[in-house]
Amino acid sequence: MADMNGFVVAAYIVMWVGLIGYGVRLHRVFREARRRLDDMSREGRKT
Amino acid sequence: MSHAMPLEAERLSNAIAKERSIEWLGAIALLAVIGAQLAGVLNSPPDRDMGHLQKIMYVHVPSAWNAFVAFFVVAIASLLYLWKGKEQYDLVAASAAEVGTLFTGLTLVLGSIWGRPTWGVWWTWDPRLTSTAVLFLIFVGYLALRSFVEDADRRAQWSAAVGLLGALNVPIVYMSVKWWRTLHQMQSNPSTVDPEYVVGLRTNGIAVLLLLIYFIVKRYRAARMERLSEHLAESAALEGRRA
Amino acid sequence: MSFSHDLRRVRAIIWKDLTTERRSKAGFNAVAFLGVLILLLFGFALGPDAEALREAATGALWLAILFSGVLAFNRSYQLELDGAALEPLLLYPAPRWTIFAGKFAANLLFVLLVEVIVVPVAIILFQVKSLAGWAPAMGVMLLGTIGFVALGTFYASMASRSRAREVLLPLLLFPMLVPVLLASAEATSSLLAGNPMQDAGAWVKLLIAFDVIFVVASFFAFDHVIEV
Repeated sequence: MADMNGFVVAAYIVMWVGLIGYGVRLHRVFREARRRLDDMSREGRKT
Repeated sequence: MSHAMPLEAERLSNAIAKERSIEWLGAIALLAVIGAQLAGVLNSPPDRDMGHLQKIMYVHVPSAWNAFVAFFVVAIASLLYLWKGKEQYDLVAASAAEVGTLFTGLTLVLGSIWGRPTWGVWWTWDPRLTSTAVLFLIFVGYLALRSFVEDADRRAQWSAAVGLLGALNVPIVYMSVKWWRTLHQMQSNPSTVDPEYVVGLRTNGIAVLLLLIYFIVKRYRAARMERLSEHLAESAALEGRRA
Repeated sequence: MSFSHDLRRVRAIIWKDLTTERRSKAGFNAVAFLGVLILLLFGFALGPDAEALREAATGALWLAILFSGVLAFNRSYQLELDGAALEPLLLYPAPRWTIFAGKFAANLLFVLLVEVIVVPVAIILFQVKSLAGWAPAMGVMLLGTIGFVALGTFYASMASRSRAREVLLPLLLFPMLVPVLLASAEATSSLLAGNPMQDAGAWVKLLIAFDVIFVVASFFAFDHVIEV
């Protein structure tokens, strides 16, 4: 029975690692996209 | 060139403003998921047969539901793109596909984690899980296609066609796998859920749906900014050539 | 443009695709040989026990057809791409479906000819004893091949023009072929074993539905993907 609980815990860990992991990656992707847009438009203003 | 400046400056400030509101949704979604999971885990009594294993359903089933929601979004957005041709539809489809892949993958792993102690094996070729595996491969193919195509128009047209055809096939795949299993007299794996667990499943399902929406919207916005950068780069290159 | 004019164009494309293929007869021979080779490898992998082989026969046969057939699809666009002939083909004022119809028909003929070679080899290598319902079984093979070739021709129109085409085509195509694989393998087994048509009936209906849906869908989608 205790054995089974291990699986339950593993499942919840997998879920959270997946969600948090993607959330963090998404955060980075968003930041990067905004930074690139800033750079692009700054260059535009220069010309 | 000068007309482009106020437009993208406005877009930038919009993006920043919207970012704050979307983060609110993210925070609410996160709290909702934590709350729903706690409620589910603490409130539900151990099942007669499955014991505490039943609690895995609170993460596995919402992942599955939302994977299919994402997939549905991909199908509709692809259809709209082929019909109307607006770039936004393509970006919605791509964002939903990326998030859908996450949830499909989670569904498969969680299904496997549940299966092992329940039936003794990591994989049982259960029709629903197997169809989900095929859906996963279709999503992956979709994303791979997008990564291999440089031109934005081509990428959008091609992914929309691939997304739509994939969507058409999902019910057919499910039917074939189901027949295949019954043909070989495989014992249908009962994942029927006791009615007393339904409330917990629904609340978790909705909480994860909020998270799905948050992910898709945020990914979409990032994609819009990426496209905008590409547009600016293109017009800068054209300017450069004229000068 | 009249329909008969379109049909003539389809025939022209079929003729062009097949004769260029024939001049490089090596192309057909290589693919057929690969099919046979795959069967042999399956034989080794699944062990010499006759019963095991018989169980696996139709599955192995279909996998051999799928893995060798994929090679045909990218090649059918290769000729245009190498000679930069796709642009002129598109500039010619004719409906796009004629291009797809031509390529589809040429590929279908090609794969069916490969099957003429691969099927007997499979029967021999996998020690298939009963050939009772061989006629309807051939019908099933045709239905399965139609679905396979329609989707293969469609996905290859994109894969052949992108990077990593060798891996992209199978990656896109094979998940879509799960119903074809299941239905064809099961129905063929059942028919060859002499089971009455009823058993295979559901699978045949599925195959027909699949073919109708995806031949039509491929025709429509081809318009969108060939232009851009």
